[in-house]
Amino acid sequence: MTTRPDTDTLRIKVDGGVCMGHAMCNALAPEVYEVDDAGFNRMGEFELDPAGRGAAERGASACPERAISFPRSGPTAG
Amino acid sequence: MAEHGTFEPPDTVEELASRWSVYQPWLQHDPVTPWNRMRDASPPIVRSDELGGYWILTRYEDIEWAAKNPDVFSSAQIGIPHRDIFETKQIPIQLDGDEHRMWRQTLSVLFNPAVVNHFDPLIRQATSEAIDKVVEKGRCEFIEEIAVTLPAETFLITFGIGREYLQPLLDHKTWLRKEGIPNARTDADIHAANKPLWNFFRDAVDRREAEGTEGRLDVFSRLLTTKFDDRPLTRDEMVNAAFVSMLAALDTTTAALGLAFLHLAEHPEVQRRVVASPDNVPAIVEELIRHEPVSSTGRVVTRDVERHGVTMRAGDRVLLSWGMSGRDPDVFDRPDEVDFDRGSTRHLGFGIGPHRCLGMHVARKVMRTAIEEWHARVPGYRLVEGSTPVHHYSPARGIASLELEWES
Repeated sequence: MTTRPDTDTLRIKVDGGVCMGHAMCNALAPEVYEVDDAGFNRMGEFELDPAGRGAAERGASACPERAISFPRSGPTAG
Repeated sequence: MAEHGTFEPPDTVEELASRWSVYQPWLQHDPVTPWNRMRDASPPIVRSDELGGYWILTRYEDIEWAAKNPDVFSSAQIGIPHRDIFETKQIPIQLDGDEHRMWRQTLSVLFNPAVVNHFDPLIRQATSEAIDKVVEKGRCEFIEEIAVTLPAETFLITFGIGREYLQPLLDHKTWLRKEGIPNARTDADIHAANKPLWNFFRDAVDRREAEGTEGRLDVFSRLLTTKFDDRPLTRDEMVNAAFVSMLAALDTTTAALGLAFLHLAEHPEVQRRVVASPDNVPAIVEELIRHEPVSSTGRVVTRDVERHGVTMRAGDRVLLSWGMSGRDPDVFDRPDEVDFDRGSTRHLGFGIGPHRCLGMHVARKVMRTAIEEWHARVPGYRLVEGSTPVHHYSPARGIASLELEWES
């Protein structure tokens, strides 16, 4: 079992169909997540420098709708 | 109010459940410890025999499930006991289905983060002024002097009513809470008791219209110019929505502020954390909202539904304790600990589903601004020695009095 090295780019997926505009991601990790005027996150799928992992996870874990996930790349992706 | 310790909760979890009510004297000081006991030692769905009988969903996942199934769990009765406080349904919290969806569309844009940020300078100014009044004294009764004032000031700002109406608004609201509602025997009595505040809001809409709405982002200016179902709103609808917003916003935010500052006053290391980096404030606010339950609301079942082997029948009432779900160990590690760096913070303090709190962005702004501006002026403070914060569970879990002191 290998874990991805920290040098990998971090992939983040925001499911716009699930987001309900709580804006919690932006509240707890404004450096990673942007929300629109109504509080909705429209960022879709994007990549982030792995240095931002802590903030990205903090914002994702605050989402009451569980709209933010971290798709794995590589052989287990599916 | 009875002294703490005079009323002890029942010994058995069965009796805890069957006698559970936010009005129970033995739950006023601390409902959280008995709730945790009840949740951990009972089936997920229990029944209280109080207030005509109702179901209690004790788990986060079931509260979320009910909130996300509004066709089964209707908001037609949002209190236990429920009383129709207006002659028409309350907009939008008492509505279901398409009618609710349309009102949410009309109203949600009035409270979104961009609007709240637009009012940030005015909210910050009102906050600074309230705190400046007490800084030199070296002590204050935080609830009356700060926690009651700030949500009301913010309400007046965001609705375009004007801060000069603070005292009339608070006087009306206090009278309604302490005399109007408690003395009302019938629905007609409640409607009569609501009349002064109803007229206060109607006059405010009239003034707003006379003074002009052009380019303004306040709620009344936008309600005067927006459409609902392709028609302008009636005066009664605007007043209804404002009245409901006030009932939903003021006591709850006062309660949350009081509970947050009690925690801060008892934890100087958290005060230092705020002073060291105000960037920590949003996470501190969210964790304290998770840890300190404030509000609960009711639903009424529209058709028979089974969950965990329990059949809830059409017409049954269900209590959703939003804040208590923040203590569920299935969702939060060490749920009773305050940890500003915890992994999961997805609390339901503002509810979830189509009825989640319309004012949540405003409430967060009030709390964050209060904590930021307070610590900029009063970096270190504590409970006055010998003072005892008096808690209450009803109508929103909070504190009646909180004596703070500091070196001025």
